[in-house]
Amino acid sequence: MDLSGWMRIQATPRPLLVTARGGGGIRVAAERVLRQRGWDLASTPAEADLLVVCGVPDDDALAAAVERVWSAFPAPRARASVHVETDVVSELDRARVRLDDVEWQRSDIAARTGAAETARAEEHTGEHDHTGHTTHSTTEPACGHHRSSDPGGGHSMGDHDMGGHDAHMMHGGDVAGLRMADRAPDRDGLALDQLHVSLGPVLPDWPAGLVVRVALQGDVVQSAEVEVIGEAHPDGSSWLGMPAAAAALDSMARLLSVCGWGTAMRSARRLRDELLTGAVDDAELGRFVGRLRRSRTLRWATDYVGRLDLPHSDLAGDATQRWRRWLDVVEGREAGHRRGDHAEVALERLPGLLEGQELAAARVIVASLDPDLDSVLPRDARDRVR
Amino acid sequence: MNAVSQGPTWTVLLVPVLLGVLALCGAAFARVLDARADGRGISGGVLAAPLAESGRLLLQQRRAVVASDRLLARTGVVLVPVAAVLAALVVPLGDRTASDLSIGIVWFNAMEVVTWAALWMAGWGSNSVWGLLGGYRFVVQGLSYELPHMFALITVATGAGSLRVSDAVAAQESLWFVVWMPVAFVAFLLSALALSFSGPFDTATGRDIVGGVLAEYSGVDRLLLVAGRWLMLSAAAAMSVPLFLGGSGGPLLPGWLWTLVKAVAVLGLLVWVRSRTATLRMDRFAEFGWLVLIPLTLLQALVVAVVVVGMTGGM
Repeated sequence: MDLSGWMRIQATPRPLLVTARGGGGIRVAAERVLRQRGWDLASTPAEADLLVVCGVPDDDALAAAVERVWSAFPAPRARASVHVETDVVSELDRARVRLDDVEWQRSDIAARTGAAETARAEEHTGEHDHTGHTTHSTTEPACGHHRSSDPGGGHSMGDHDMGGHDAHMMHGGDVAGLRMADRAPDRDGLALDQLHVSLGPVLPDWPAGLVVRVALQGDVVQSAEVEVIGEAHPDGSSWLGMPAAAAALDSMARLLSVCGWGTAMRSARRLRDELLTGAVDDAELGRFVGRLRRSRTLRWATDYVGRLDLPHSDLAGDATQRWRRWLDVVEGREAGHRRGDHAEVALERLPGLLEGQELAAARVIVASLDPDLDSVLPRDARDRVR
Repeated sequence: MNAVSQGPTWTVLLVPVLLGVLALCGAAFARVLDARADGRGISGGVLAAPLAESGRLLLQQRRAVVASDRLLARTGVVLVPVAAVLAALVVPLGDRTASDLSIGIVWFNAMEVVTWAALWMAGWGSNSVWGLLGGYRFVVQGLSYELPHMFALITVATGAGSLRVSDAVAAQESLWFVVWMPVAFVAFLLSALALSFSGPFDTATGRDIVGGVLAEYSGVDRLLLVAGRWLMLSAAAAMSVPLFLGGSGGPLLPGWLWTLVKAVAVLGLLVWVRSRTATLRMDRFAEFGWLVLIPLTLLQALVVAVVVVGMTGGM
């Protein structure tokens, strides 16, 4: 075996998980297998080599986002689509084999290069013929073009440019075929660059099916529009049968990840899986919950963030109060997790909560509400406003 | 304990090797902590994971976003590990140092500030929302940790009466600086995490902004950034040894081994802190930095200055 083949086999793959609505149970199963194998989760396509789609992307918007993310993967790459929980292991194994299959990877690269060249040829006949453009494509075939037709969505959000390229404005307000940043007054009345970014549907530690379109100035959210994509699966997954304590730990793991506490996130996921198999050590669970409650850095990240005045609701209070309530559920001191019309209320309040927040706080708000969109049944007017 | 002296020129080549080994140890320890949290056994595979991951990244295709600023991005990416190695040049191993600059302490500080610029360039140059936000965040973070960091270094220089690292080691022959400059030591450790954008100070590469500065980098570019982070953390941990922990001083073992043992211990402590904390929100840390750390480090510098003046006046 040659050296590169040997090196490839030594490394563990880096999967990027994408969850469709109704794929929550599959995601939990996939996370368990990946954790046991030590395959760390990627947060961006650039880092990843394995795309794992949990559930069926039965919606055009999500399917398109998955394809965009897939096209942003560097070689070598492989993908796994898991439609039922029992397929997790076999699908991951199949993808792993493909990842190490040099022949398949070669033909994949060839196909992408061909597609990129076709796209370039088409573009050159059109109006977007900028001088700097060809140099991009020739120096790095197959990975310079994946975003040119995509003004934000999923992961492909890097395509706007911020100021400083006034010369290009002569060409009609775009650079390399991409729209420039807008200008808009900020909260102090200054005209600042404004970026339109779509959070979701493919974003790590993000509720499945949620898309929030935000206008950003710097890292402050100016406005937010909420949309839910994909078909609801009220009874299709084992997600609903999950004990409240495990579901609460799942929410907690996601919040911990957003708050940048990777080690605790890993412990939370492991304890969740142990709760599901009934093998949990209660003393260890208690210690873990105690450590989270005592953590000053975690409280710093969540105190006073996303305050809601909703008496008698799971959502009442700030982010800290919400995750502390989850820990009560984990310890069995509170009965249910995400009860009643939890998701509907969260969606309704979300835009108001997000506006004026820094992006970091916005992520904490969404993670601390953690709406289970599988349960949102009737599509209301908010869905599919486009 | 022998005085630290300038080593032969070839020792410069030893610096990246030793720093690399130290960085691999740190990364392997982080993997061990991860594996324990995951409930996996600690195997050889876990310990070798940083090397295996480096191999994976070497084989991975590089990619870039349309209209990214390549020159800026690549300069930034390369500068991160280079700055770390350059910073480590002034760290003595035992009684030999690769470069005994008369302004060694300032040199270390300057190289670490290069990381600011490098990370900002890498973030801005990648032409991505996430990279840009990561770059912004690192600059904000710098404003919060840099002053306490500088005051900590100034305190050491005041105690040693010199900006030369070997003089700082010599001044600790009877009493380690960590004993009478504990605040400066803690501030230095905090800034060691902050300047290597790791642990609770990893806002610039946060998972909430899908990796921030790292978001668009794959392959060898990503390897340079991630390795640069570990090299920088290791360089800062190693630098704490001559600055606060008496350099190569210690009983029984040879000096060079003492230096390594102390550096590994400090690095281990930093990696452990990393596993026990959530990312610090920058507005909160800015408050803490300016209202608590700066006054405390200033007070520490004042106390040290008074002691130094008193001692030299009494002599």
